[in-house]
Amino acid sequence: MFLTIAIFTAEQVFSQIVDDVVKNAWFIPGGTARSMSIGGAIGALGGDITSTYVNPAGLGFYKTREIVLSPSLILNNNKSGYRGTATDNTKKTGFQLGTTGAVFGGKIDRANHSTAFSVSVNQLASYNNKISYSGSNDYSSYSEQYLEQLVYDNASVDQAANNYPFGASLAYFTYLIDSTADPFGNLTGYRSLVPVGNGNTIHQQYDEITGGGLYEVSFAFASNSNDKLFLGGSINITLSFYTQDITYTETDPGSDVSNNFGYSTFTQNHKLNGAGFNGRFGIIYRPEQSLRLGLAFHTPSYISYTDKLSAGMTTNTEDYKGINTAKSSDFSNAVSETQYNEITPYKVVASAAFVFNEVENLKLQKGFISADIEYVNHRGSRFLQQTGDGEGDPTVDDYYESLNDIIKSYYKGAFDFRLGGEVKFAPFAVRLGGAYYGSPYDDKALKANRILIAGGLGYRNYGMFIDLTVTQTFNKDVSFPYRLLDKANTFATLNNKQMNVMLTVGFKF
Amino acid sequence: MKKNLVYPLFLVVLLVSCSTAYKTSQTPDDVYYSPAKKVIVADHYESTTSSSDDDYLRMKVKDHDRWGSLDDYSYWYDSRYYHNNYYTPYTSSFSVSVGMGWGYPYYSAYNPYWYNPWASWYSPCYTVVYYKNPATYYKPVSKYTLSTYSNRGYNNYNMPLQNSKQSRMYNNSNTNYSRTNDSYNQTQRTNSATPSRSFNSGSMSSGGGSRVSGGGSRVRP
Repeated sequence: MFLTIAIFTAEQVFSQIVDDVVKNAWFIPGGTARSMSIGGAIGALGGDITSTYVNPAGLGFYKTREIVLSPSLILNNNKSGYRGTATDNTKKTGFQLGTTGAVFGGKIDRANHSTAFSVSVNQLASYNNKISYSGSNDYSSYSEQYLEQLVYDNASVDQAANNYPFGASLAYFTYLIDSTADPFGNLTGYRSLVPVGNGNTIHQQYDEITGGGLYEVSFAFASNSNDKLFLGGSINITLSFYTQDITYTETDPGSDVSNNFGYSTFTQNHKLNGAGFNGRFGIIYRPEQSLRLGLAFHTPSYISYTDKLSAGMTTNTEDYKGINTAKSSDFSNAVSETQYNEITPYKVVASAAFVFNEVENLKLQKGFISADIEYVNHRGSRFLQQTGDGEGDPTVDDYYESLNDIIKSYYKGAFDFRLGGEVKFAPFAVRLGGAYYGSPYDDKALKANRILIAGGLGYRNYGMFIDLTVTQTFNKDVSFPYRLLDKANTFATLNNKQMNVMLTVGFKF
Repeated sequence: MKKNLVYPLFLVVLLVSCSTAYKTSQTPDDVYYSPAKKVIVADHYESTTSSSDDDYLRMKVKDHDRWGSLDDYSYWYDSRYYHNNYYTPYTSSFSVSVGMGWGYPYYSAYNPYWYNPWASWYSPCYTVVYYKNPATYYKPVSKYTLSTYSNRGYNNYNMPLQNSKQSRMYNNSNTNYSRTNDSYNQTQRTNSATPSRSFNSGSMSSGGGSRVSGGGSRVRP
C-alpha cells in the first residue's frame, strides 16, 4: 500500500504590484527650494542643480561652482470618504531631503565652449503617510475575495488550508470562510461567515501607515556651445525604500451574538527595497537672448526589488468556532520574500522659459517665467522575474505577462504641467509656481490628480544663497480596501493635503 | 552633545570659508548670467607640440631637401599615443573580458593579465550569480487578484443612499474575464445571510466535501 503525501506549495505573493506602479512614477518630484517654488518648472530654465532631474542640459549654464543642501519638512493631512458614511482625518509629519550636492561648472576647453559636472542626491518622492477610512457596508465583505479566489482556482479544502498563507488560508483557518458540501459530502464551494447584504450591514475600518522614499544619486554632465546650445545627460542610481502596514477590520455592529460573527481583523506588513538605474538626456536651445527652449527624455528605470511580506488574521465567529488566529509565519511553505524587477515608465519633458535681462549685474536682473509639459507613460511599467543566469520559471513568466497586460489596461499615459516665475530685486527674489499632474488611471470613475501651489523667497549675497519655499500639494486618489471579481467593487476617496516647508542653502566656491 | 555640534559647525565654517571668493563682489546667479573665469584658452597646436616640433617644422619648410628626412621620434613614440603599434602590450581584449564574461583574453607571453583570476570563466565574478536567487520561484501563481483589476463595476453607497446617488452608480456588469462561479446571483436572490461562492457543476474534482486535510498539510482547529 502506497501512502501518498501531499506536498503543498504556497502561492507567491504579487497582489501589491499593480498598485505599486503609481508609487514609482506618479509623484511630484522633489528639488531645491528655488525649483519647488516655481512648481518644478526648471526644464528649459537651467542654472539650478535640480536640472539634473528634469533636463540635465540646464547644468550647462553653470560657469561657476556651488554646493547645495536642501532639507525639508512634510506635514500630511488626510481626509477620506468611504461609502458616504464617514470621513476621517489623519496627520503625519516626515522629513524629506531635497536636491543636495555640488555643481562644478566653468571648465572651458575651447573658445565659447564650457562644460559642467554635478554630483547630487535627491529624494524624488516621500512615502511617509497615514490614511484611514471607515464606514458601514450593506453590500460586500472582504471575506468574499477569499471565496472568489478559492473558486477561481478550483481549490480543494487542503489547498484552501495551505496554499494561500497571506490571505485565503488565513481566512479558512480562522473560520472567516468555510467550505460547503452537498448532501453526499462533496465539496460544492465556500461561504463567508460575515452577515452582509439582504439587509445586513457590517462596519469596515481600514488603516494604512506607509514610510520610506524614492531616492536618486546622480552624476550629470552638460556642455555649453556659444551660450546657444546646451546638451546634457545624467546617470542616476535609484534607491527605493517602502514600508506599508495595513490593519483592516470588519465588525458586526449589532449586539447579536448568535449570528456567528463578531469581528475579523487582517494585518499585513509589507517591506519593499529596490535598487536600479536610469538615464536622462536633454537639450536646451536659445534661439534668441532671453528665450530658452528645452526637450528632455527620461529613460525608464530598471529596478530590482526584494519584497518581504507577512500577514495575520484574527476572527471571532462567536458560537460557531470562537476566536481563532492565524499568521503567515505559521505556514512552513509560505514564501515571505520574493525578488523581481521593474521597468518604470519613460518620460518626455518639453519646456520653455523667458528670462528678463540676462545680464551679469544682479541689480539689473528682473526675473523669469518658466513652463514644462511632461508626458509619463504610466501604462508602460513592466515587471519581470529575476532569473539570475537561468531561464526562469515559465509559469512565473506567464504570470508577469498577464500582470503587464493588466497594467496596460488599468493605467494610461498622463500629462503633467508645471508653471512658475520669479521677480527679482537683488539681493532678494520672490517666486510663485504651480503644477498639475494628471490621473494615471484609465478608468475615468477613479478620480485622481495632484495639484501643487508654491511660493518662496530667495536671498543671494556674500558668496551664498538661501531659499525658503512653502508648497501645498492637493493629492486626490482612491483606495480599494479589497477587490472583487464577480461583484461590484467599493473604494474610498482620498484627499491628501501635503504641506512642504523647504530650505535650500548654497555656497559658491 | 558637544560632539554633535562640532561637525555641523565645522561644515558651516568650511562652506562659508569656501565662499570667500564672492564676498567682495556680487554672488552670481547662474540662471541669469554665469560669469566665466578669466582663463586664457590655450591654442591647441601650441599646447600639444613642443618647441622642438616647431623647430623641425620650420627647418623642413625652409629647406625640405635638406631636412625632409629628419624624423620626429618623440611624436611617433610619444607614450601618450599608440599608433596601432602591434607590439604594444596594451592591445589585448582585457577590458572586455573582465566582468562581462565574454571576449577571449589575448594570449601572449608578454601579456601581464593572462593569469589575472578575474579574466577567467572560473573566476568568482561569474559564479556568484548562481547562488543569487533563492528557490522561491517555482510556486503556483494564481491570477485571481489580477483579474479583479478588470472589474470596473462600483458600488460606493449603501441602500438608502444608493437610490439618491443613482447617477453616481457605475456599470455593475463584469467584462473580459471568465468566471468559474455563476452561483453569486442565485445566492443573492435567496435570503442567505452570508455570501458564498460555488463551483460550476463538474468543475471541482478534488476535495472531499469536508474540512479534512491531506497528508503533510495543516489542519484547522
